[in-house]
Amino acid sequence: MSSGPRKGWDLTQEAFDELLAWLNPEREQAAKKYEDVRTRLIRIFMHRGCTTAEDLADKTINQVARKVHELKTYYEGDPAPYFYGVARNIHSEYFRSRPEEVPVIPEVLSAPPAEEPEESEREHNCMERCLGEMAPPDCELLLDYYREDGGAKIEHHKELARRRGITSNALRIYVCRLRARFKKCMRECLEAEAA
Amino acid sequence: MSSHRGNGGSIRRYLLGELPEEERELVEQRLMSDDDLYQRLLLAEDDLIDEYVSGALSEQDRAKFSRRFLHVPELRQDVRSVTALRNYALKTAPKVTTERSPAPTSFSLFDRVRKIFMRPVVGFALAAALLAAVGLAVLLAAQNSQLRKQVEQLHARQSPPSVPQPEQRDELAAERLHNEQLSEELQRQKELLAEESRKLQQAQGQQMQTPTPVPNSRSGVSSVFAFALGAGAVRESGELKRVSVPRGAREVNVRLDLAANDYRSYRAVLQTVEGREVLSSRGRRGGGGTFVQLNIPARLLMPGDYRIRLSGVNPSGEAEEIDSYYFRVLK
Repeated sequence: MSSGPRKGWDLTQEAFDELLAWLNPEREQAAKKYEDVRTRLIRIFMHRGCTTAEDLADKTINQVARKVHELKTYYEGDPAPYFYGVARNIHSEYFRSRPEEVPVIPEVLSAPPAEEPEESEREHNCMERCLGEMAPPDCELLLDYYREDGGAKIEHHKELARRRGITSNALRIYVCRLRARFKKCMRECLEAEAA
Repeated sequence: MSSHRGNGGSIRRYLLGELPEEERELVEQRLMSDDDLYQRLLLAEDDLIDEYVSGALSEQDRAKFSRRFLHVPELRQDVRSVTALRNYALKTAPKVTTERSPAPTSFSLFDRVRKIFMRPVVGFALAAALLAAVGLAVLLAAQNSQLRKQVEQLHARQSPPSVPQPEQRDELAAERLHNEQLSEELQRQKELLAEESRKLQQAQGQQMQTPTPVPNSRSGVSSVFAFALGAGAVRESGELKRVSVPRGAREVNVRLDLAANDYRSYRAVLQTVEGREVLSSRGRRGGGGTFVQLNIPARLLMPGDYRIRLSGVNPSGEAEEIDSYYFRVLK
């Protein structure tokens, strides 16, 4: 969990500290809130088709941080909606300034981009590394979760849940978290490999 | 218009880009602060990706998914990661069928124990342990059998069987009778030989040339023919000792005079002068160690020239050749 200014920010440390304080008086809670807000902004930008979702999220936070000094005087309530408002404007600017990045896609698309063999090998190496970094029971559960397809998948997931003494929904949520960790690890690993 | 409260259907529609702009914004606003909704969004993402990867999406949904997910680098990478994960999981799936029976309503101790033993790892470990135990048992049985045989052989060498088998008793009785007969003959021969020894001792050099016959079977007195040989003397004189084995003789006892008595036991090999071995036997020491007696079945002595190679057996069991004795059988 990050607790400092992101790369590309031109805000001072002082302004960043002020932002955290506005999010929550407790520094640790504020950092958690900051990460929460950033993660959700990234997600929203991604699902709006933005190819630079992280940069746009940071830009949003940057703009809010610049206004914190004023916000403290009049803004009440959860800061999150304010962040969203700023994000929406930034998205509009993004669309206006880079329309070519928004693909005009026909209704039926062709298959995803063809795999490059080199990319596949890197992915495989990262996958093994990321699975290796997981606790063995978690790794086993994650792999087990994918070992059935089609109609058998539902029963298989129920069986997995039953073996662990939890509900199917609880299993689904747990696997979702494992998958999120796995995907994050894969992204970081692939970035490192590509560097 | 679908609800903006963020139920499962709305989230899926949001992800596939099916919501109108107003509804989309409402969902997004809630996502910023509603933890539960955000969690459901992540779950719905995973479900969509799983469906796409497994080919379960309809053609229309597939197109929408491609548009929304595959042209955003992070989402595309997520799809690729999950694809790789799924392929890896399917490739490394153990070849064990999962139970399809309905889940029991409660776990009994028996069920728990049974589940433990149904795990592939436990099964493989038990199978390996069982195989090892069977292999060890077979090996021990084979070794045991071999040891038993060795013990039996040792017993057989050391002492006669205390309880001979019924089919061996007759043979044993016959052998005993034969031995008794031979012993009687031997005793008689000993007496005769003792007398001859005295004569030989008196005229030792000359007497060695003359074999001492014993009464032959034609006279009906004995089936054993005996004569004495000195070591190497015949060869030196250039003449072989000549022996006529009586027709009825069953056994020929040859006395081999010893130049020295250095061994506790002796071994004699009878062979033709061409080197063909006829008989190999332990020689019995007699006469206070002055000679060794070799008993030869008469049927083995065909007319011809023979050589007896005498060896002494040293304390370590090795045979050391002492001397050779030559004779010619006439018939």
